[in-house]
Amino acid sequence: MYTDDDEAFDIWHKTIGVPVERIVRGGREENTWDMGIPGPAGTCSELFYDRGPDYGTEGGPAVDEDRYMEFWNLVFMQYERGAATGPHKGDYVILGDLPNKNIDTGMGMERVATLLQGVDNLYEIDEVRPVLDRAAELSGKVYGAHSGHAASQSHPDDVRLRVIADHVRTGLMLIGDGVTPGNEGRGYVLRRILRRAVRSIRLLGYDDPALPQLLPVARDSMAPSYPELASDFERISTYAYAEEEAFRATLRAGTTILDVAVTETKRAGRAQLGGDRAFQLHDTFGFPIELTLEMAAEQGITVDETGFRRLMAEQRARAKADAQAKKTAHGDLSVYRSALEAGAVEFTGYREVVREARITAVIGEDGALAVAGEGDEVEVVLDATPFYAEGGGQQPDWGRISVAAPGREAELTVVDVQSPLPGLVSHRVTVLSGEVRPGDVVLAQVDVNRRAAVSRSHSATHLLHAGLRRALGDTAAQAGSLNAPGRLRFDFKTPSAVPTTVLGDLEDEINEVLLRDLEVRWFVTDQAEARRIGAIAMFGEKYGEQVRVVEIGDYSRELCGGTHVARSSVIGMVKLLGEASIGAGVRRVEGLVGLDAFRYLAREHVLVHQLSSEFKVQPDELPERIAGVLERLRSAERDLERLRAAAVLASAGSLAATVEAIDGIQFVAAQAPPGVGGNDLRSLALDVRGRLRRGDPAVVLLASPAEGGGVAFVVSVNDAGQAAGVSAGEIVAAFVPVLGARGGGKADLAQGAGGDATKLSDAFAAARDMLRSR
Amino acid sequence: MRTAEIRRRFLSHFEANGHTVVPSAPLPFDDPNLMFVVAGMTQFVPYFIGQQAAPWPRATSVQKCVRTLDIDEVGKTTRHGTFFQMNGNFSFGDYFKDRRDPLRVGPVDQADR
Repeated sequence: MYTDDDEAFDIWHKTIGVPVERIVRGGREENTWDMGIPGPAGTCSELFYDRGPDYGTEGGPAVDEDRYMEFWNLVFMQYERGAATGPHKGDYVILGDLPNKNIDTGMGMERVATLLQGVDNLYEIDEVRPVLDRAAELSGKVYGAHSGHAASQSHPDDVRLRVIADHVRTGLMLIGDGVTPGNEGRGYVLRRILRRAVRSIRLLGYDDPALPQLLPVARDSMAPSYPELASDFERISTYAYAEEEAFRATLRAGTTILDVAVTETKRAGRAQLGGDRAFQLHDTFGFPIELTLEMAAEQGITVDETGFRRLMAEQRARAKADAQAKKTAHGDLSVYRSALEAGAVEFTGYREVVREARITAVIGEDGALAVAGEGDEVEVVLDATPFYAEGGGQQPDWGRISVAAPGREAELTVVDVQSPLPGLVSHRVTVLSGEVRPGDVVLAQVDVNRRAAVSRSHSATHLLHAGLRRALGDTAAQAGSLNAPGRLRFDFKTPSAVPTTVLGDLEDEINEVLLRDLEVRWFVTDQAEARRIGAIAMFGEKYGEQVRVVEIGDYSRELCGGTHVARSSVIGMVKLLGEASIGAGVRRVEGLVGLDAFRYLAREHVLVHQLSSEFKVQPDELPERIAGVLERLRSAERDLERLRAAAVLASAGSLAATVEAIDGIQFVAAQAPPGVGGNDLRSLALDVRGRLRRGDPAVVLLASPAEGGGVAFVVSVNDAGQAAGVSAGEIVAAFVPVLGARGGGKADLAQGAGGDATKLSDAFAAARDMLRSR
Repeated sequence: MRTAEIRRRFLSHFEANGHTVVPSAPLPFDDPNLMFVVAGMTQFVPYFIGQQAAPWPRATSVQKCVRTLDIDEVGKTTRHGTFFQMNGNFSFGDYFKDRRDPLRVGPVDQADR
């Protein structure tokens, strides 16, 4: 209880009868409770259970919190605490009293279960232990075999089993509540927890995918209290298993790199892995820094974490600058800010594609210009424009801007339109002829063919989005899109691949919607109304209070600032090209729209026609025919390979016949058939060796001229030869300088390649000399 | 005693003593300072600080919590878990220190048997 809370003391001691010696008074660190951030706070009384001398030293919670387990905290919530004023838990000021005196208690379910179930720790209670047992079974460990009662006597294997059990359960609960693995925020916490679980069981020696074995056990343990985990398990497990697969791929690539880096670091006599290497692992291989830290620590070295953080910060800054520089000529936005001082640019392109306007600024590489002439590439700002600036996935309009000032004419071609600042539209133009100045009155004309094609794609994307949600549920939310002339790309969130049949049905449905010739309407309303009528909004996107809703008949209704067709039939045709993964939980569908879709299908038709006349079958029979041809080809290749191997081995007899005796050593130095390398040459040498007398020393040196020049060679020495002190490696060392090749090996086997085939007989002679001079 | 049974007894004890059973809030928590719910009272903060009037004078809940600050301690001590459940009883300006105890004695007493 809190140090001077005599009221609480009286209740505990006098009313309830707790002996004085069992009541401990604590200060602000121990006996106040808050959330660790500004908010409600209060003094508290904590209830502990003494588990006996088996679990630790006597002396109360201050001495051993494992023996004296806190299981219930009663907080007398009556103050409001302010921001932290120092590093310690109790460093903050009390701002004042809360409006009421409240009670807030927290009884740790897992701790109570630990006590009531008579187990040592929370990893052994009924909700957690089954996962631990399964992990032990998979890894062939016996839990508790090497540990004592007290936590401090735990064997590392047992610690890992507990980590697995804890983390698998946490992963299950987090995904169950809608968190998905990612690189930031909650998603990153989840990713880290799942990956730690997987890594822990790998460290116990289990290398196969583990979550499919463990997650169902966690589900069965938790479902009595949380039945939704069972009904939602397909979704939960899809995310979890995909994350394990992604991690396994990362591990395969990164572990090797890390091992090399650690070895290099140790060889250089340093005890710290450079921040640049940790950064490379993170940047190139997606290796989380925590993992690098842990794995380096296991090998006894530290990591320059500060250096790593600095490189991360630099990269973020660079990426930001790059993105800005790509979109606008000026990394420095001040020139746009001053252009905006004339007022926001009105976009009139929803209603019109031609407009008379006035130039408010001409911007060159070095800032605002008074004039731009023929051949100049500059940016032009108008007071109002029908040109659509790239945004919402929609590609920018192109077109023309014509100056018709008194006595002066100029033609500009618009090659890009961007919005570098909210409310500002900047046209990137090339001056084709004449001169252009701020103040000029111009005619701005959008390229209507391009606009129409982009609008068709954009409307088609809305249909695709709506169709995907109908097919896969509302979780198939948009993650990005591209609407370009004739083609579209749509990225969305979903845990697993979209089955081909779903995509085919979806394509069919979209084309039916086109034929229904639905009217496309748009209107501006407030956010609340848009939500009420169920308009699809991009998750995480910031919209203004007033939003624009685009609806296509009764099929699609979406918040959107882009341009669209007037009726669905104008889109003509939509062909989906397929879908693929572009990141964890994000898939991409690509498609063609209008004439481009038709041309694609027409090309495929011609191709199929060609194939079918080439194979002399009907188009329907093509797959079967091609599969048959491929199978025959594979079988022929296998036969060829067998024949080749047989021919090589058949040469063994004649090669063995060339054996000569050098100082009691049987020595074969011969040229094998050309083009035999690697394993084949090694088997051949062993075969030749096997034909020599086993009891006497034997050395076989075979060389095969390679097709592209150079020689592959191998030296094999039998046991008797090695016993007599002959080493294959030493023979190769004598052989390669003459040949000009590289190679090496051990006493029984050495090999190499390269060099000049015409020097082979000299090289063989060198090997003979070497054997003689031993 | 299975955990699900502890949960049932805890909630029904406080329900019988005039507390409204409130379901657990989902784990993700929308607050710039917190990613996840870390305590039973997290979902009740607006009632404690008087930002909103509490819909009930007394409540009880079993709250799902995630806390990863001590992730490196997991497995090494007996009591650190990244996921845990908090059983709680709450009074919003209703009973305070003295009137809490008869309520509390119940479940601990039962638990001891």
